[in-house]
Amino acid sequence: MILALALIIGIVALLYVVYPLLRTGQRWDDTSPPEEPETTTQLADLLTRQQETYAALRELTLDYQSGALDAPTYQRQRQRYERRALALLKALDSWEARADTVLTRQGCTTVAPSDDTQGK
Amino acid sequence: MHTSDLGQIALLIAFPIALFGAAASVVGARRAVPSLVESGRRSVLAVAALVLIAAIMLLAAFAGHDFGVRYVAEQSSREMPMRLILAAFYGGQAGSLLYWLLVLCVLAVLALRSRHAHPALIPYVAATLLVVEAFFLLVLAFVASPFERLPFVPANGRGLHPLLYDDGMLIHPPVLLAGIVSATIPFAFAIAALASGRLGNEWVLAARRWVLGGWAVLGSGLLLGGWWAYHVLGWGGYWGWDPVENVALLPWLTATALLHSLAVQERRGLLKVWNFSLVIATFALSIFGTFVVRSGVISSVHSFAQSAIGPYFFVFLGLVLVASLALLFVRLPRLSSSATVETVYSREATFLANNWLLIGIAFATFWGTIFPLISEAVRNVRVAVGTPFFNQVNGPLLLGLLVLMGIGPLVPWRGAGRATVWRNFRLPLLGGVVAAIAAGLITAQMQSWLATAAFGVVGFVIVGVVQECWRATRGQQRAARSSLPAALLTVLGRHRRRYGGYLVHLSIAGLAVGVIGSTFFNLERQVTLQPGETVTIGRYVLTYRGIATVPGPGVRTVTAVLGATTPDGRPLAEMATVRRFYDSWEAQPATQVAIHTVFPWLDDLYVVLAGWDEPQSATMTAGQFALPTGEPLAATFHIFVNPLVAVLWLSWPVFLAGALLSWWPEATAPALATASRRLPAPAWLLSRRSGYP
Repeated sequence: MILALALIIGIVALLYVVYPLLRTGQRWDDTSPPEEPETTTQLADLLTRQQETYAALRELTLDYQSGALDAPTYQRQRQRYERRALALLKALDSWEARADTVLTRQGCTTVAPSDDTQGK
Repeated sequence: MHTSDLGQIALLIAFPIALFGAAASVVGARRAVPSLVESGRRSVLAVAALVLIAAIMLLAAFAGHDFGVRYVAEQSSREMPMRLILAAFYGGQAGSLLYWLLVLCVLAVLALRSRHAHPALIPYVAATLLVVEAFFLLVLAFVASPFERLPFVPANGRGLHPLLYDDGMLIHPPVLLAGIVSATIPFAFAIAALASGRLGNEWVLAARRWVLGGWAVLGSGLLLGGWWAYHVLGWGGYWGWDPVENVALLPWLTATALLHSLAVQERRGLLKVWNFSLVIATFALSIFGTFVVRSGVISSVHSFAQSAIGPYFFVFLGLVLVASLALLFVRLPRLSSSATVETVYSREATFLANNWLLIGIAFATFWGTIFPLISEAVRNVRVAVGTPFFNQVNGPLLLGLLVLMGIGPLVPWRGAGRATVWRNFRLPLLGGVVAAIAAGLITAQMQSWLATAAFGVVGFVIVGVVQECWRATRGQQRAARSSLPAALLTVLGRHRRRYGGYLVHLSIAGLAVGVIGSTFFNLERQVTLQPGETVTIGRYVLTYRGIATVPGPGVRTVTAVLGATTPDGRPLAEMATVRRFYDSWEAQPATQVAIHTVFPWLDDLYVVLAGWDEPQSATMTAGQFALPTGEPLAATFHIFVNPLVAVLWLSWPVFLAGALLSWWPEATAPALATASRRLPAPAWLLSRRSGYP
């Protein structure tokens, strides 16, 4: 009984692991862009840097509002981060154009974002 | 076959799957074969399921008193309450390793949930985690199996070591071990970054909350360990620089440094090599700690007996260090940064100094811990390193760290003009001076300048944090024209990471208060008393009431009771201190210390029963203590007055709240992972402009 149970567990585990190798002609992941992994990783990079830049701007504003930073230093640093944020937005626009091309080639259509992802 | 054998078979099946999954993940990522990568990911899930089966089998063996399993017979007995029987799962060597692996498997499954956000890193993360899992499976399946059967089935088990017969057993070991295990996840992300060549900040973003969460859990485990030691070991303290305590502290110290230096990399692009080194060191130290506790190379009240697994851990530790440092060396040319620390009046400079001090403390602790081994290897004489070494070396470094903790929040990133810096420092400095003077006046008889200075630094830290919160709230109130509470909530909500960090700083200041109070101002006496006799210690009078022995199933309990009063006779508490003798461990009685915290002084009255005359005719019924009659029953007590230790324990919820606030995702951060999972790429990209007010 125990041996039979162990055998079943072993076979199920093995089949579960090797199943992707047994499938043919299917994508390994339905929700990530499969043909442009480099494009996707570029996007991850851009969004990471954008997130950091926005966080830096928020923190800078907090420091200024609380009086921990004088006005000239605040203005100088703010300009620096805003320039960086602008450059990142341009890069993201460029990425979006490339992604649209890829999706059009795949026959996908753009879907509007749902309410809970807008304006956050 | 026995039911428990299913656990052993599950481990045996999981081992090759882990190896296959690690290889499939790496080959799949390098050759861009998605099916292999997916197979690797599924291996993580399969191994987790198999390890869970093994854990359930072991728990079932404990619950069913299957004493044919050696581990169950060694760690439990029929007399133990069920909660301790189940806690015995991690009470011994093999079970604690299985627990280690189980936690790692759960964390690995959670870590792989971010595969959509970090598709290039995840295959290497999976491979790294599976290699670590494979190592533990190797040890568990072939060297130290918790499912090994005895040639006969004993009628009863030996039971837990008496020191572990405590409800602290339910919480301290699992929390501490979980904290140590969690160092593996950031390590896996760092190795993934090095292996994939994606050396930007993506891995930092992915790993930061793992570092923070693990750090908070490990910190909680250390505090809980201190609390357990305080009320069970009976030596009057909570931290003794024991080797096993030290090796658990080491990864926490490096993780603390890492948390600060990751912020510097995110904000300024500095310290990339340093951060990789720290994350590798933190993981290596977590393995080193596991090795020290389980190999028996260093003797400690906490460590397990000498066993065969030591060499396996030693080799694994060596392989981890060689492989990860080689990978780091290969990537060195791509890790240079042109950015610099522009001024010492900047937060990054403070963080850098904080890192040096933390690493200094970690190195001193590491050196003091392994020195007996080195001296034995070199001179064939084991030279013990005691508490004075650690106090003398680490004490000043910890004080310096406390100073930096006060300075950090007062200086902005990239620095500010001297006038601004002075404006930020004025009030906290004044707070520090006032705190030092107040402490000096209150403790005038003690004449401890170091303690006075330390209280001053604590005052500086607390006033600095309060000032920063107040100014930020006022700034927000003016900008948004809102009420003060609304402004405070907005500030906390928008800057959780920063203010969570400040809450943690306040908790560390509380810890410091407890440590200073109990280190510099504690009182200690050992007295032998006859029933009715009194002893005075500090501002307290203790009267010895009597002693009784109560036999019970599997255990004999000796209880002595003292009444605590003030010198003018105001009663404070009746204090019962206990020693328990378990049948299987007669030579090693367990202690239950009597502790009473006196308000408003926050003094802990701490009484340990050290020795006694055996009573002949004592009884104890329904909680009522009956004085024995006949011969006088003298008892010896070790009595301490430990000031401010209660503040130390009260700091823990503050620490947790701060860590949780800091860990919680920023409300306005772009939800990359969520968006990418739910929407086709161009649509979720539309949300990228979010995140900046």
